[in-house]
Amino acid sequence: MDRELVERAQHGDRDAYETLARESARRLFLVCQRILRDADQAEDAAQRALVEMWRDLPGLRDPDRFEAWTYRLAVRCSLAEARRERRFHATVGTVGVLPNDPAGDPDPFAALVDRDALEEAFRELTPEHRAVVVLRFFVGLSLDEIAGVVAAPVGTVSSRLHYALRSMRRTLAADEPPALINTRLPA
Amino acid sequence: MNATTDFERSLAAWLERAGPDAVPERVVEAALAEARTVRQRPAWLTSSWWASLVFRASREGEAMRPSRTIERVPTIPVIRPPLRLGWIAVAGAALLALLGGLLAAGALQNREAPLLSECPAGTTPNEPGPVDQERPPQEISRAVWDGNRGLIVVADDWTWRFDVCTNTWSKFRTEGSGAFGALVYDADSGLVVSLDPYVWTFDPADGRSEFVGNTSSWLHRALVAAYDPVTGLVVASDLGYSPRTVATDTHSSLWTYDVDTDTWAEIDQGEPAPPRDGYGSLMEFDRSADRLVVWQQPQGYFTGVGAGGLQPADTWEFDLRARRWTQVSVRAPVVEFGWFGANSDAIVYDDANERTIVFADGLVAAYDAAADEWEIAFQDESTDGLGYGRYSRLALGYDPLNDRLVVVGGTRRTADPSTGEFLGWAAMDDVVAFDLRTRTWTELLAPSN
Repeated sequence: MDRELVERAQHGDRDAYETLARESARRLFLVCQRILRDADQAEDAAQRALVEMWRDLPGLRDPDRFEAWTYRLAVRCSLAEARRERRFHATVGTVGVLPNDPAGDPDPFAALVDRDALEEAFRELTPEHRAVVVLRFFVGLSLDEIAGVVAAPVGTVSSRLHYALRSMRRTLAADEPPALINTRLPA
Repeated sequence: MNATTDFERSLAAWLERAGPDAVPERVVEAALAEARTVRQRPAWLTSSWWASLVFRASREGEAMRPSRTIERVPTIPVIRPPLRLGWIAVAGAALLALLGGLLAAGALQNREAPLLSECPAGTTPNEPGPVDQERPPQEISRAVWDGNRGLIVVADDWTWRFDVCTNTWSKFRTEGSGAFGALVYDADSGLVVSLDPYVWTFDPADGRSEFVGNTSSWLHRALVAAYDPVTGLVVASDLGYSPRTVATDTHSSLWTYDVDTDTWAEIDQGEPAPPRDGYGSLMEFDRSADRLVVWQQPQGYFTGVGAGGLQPADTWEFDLRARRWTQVSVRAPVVEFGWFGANSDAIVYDDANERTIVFADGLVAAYDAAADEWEIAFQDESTDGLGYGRYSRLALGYDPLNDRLVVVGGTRRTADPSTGEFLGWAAMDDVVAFDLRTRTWTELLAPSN
């Protein structure tokens, strides 16, 4: 991201902001839609994030952190959208649900886990947990970077991520035939 | 890519395709149109600016990431906006606080609480909790942070949680858990792990406990344990297992424990030889040094109350990456733990001030690993039994939301107020906190009697 462009936008240059907004829009929209799993909500959240980008840009002390800072806006607006609509418990099939994209190259990992099952397991996560999963496995941020985005200790981020993955695994396992469980009783 | 397992790779691949790949143009145009009607906020009106004003400057080392690198007593920067804007600043701060409180209140309704870096607005961490609330039995000995806003204490068949933002207790049924085993918060799994004599986990998110298995048969007793944030594993040792009055040439063992797979692995401690077994050992992971810090009473050490002959303790550091012990050049301050010897819970890591803290009987000793120095941060000089001297059966934890030590219960000496004559011991059920930066104590919950 062009540091000078950010600095100009910080000082009220609307043309600079428009350039930044157009360059960032796709990136932020994709994050919002992965978190919310609802097209209408994702559009609203992304639009809000872009507006807040203009409004709050003067408060960004380090222009080099612009990209990470916009992720924070996207996550914050997504969580706000989720709280307002309270539709993150919606079941698969709700109007506006984004379909998986069937086009594209063969996915070598697609066969490992059924996509519908992943969708269901992902939807059972809270928006906060989804955000951490998206930042980690879709955006590709490190735990340190995610901690900066969500303003929390790295340990907390790590535990939330672990909890989210464990929860998804359990949901997926629940759909599998039950296996024998070996238990040990206290001596 | 961050995915390291097949499941994570599947998840990443699914996320990549889980929706359209482009943003609708109408979203961008609508945002630009709306932005034309919106004024930019001046820098001093944005939350990040006020965060740097209200909170310690060293917590905003970067634009957004919380900083843990405090090398000196932090100071709050004094920022004086122009006089004509003073009232606008006050009104803006009040409005932001109100909005923050509303958002926080909404967030608290969600069982899966948002990630916290401070107590939510509207809570009262510095005001004592209700004195008539139910609380754990006296003489507990373990406390650990639960990763959110509570200190976990285990007593008999119950797990108790002290909310450091409201100073209130809540409890959960945990039958058969080890009340005196080492307690560790495993951030990787989000579980509180109890290690002695069995492995139990407690999930702060839903209050459920689970028996996992036995401790390693090679580990005599997991009396001390710490969490290694680098590997995400619990590190446990039987340091301090040997009888306290007997010198021994045996060495302690050191193990890692993975709570997810219930797997123990012994650590090769290399050369030089690790500390010998000795009663009264404390161990904690010091993040500033990336080392285990061990405080250990000397071999054959024994002290009764007032017995005299107190000896300085040894300080050891273990480099988990290089697998190497080092005996630190300085001796630790004299700390008297009384008849029961060192309570293996009497050590915590103060993240805000980057110090490993040992607490006993009203003495707070802080270890600066970078400087190899111990400092007496506080020493209770009271003789009327009303100070902060606590022996045995206290639980010590660290509250990262309010950056202070929390002492639960313990046994306090009582004295005649008029003569100072020692009268005996009283088991306490109160909760007090110590701020290393300001060197002050705060009562979080008054005694019930």
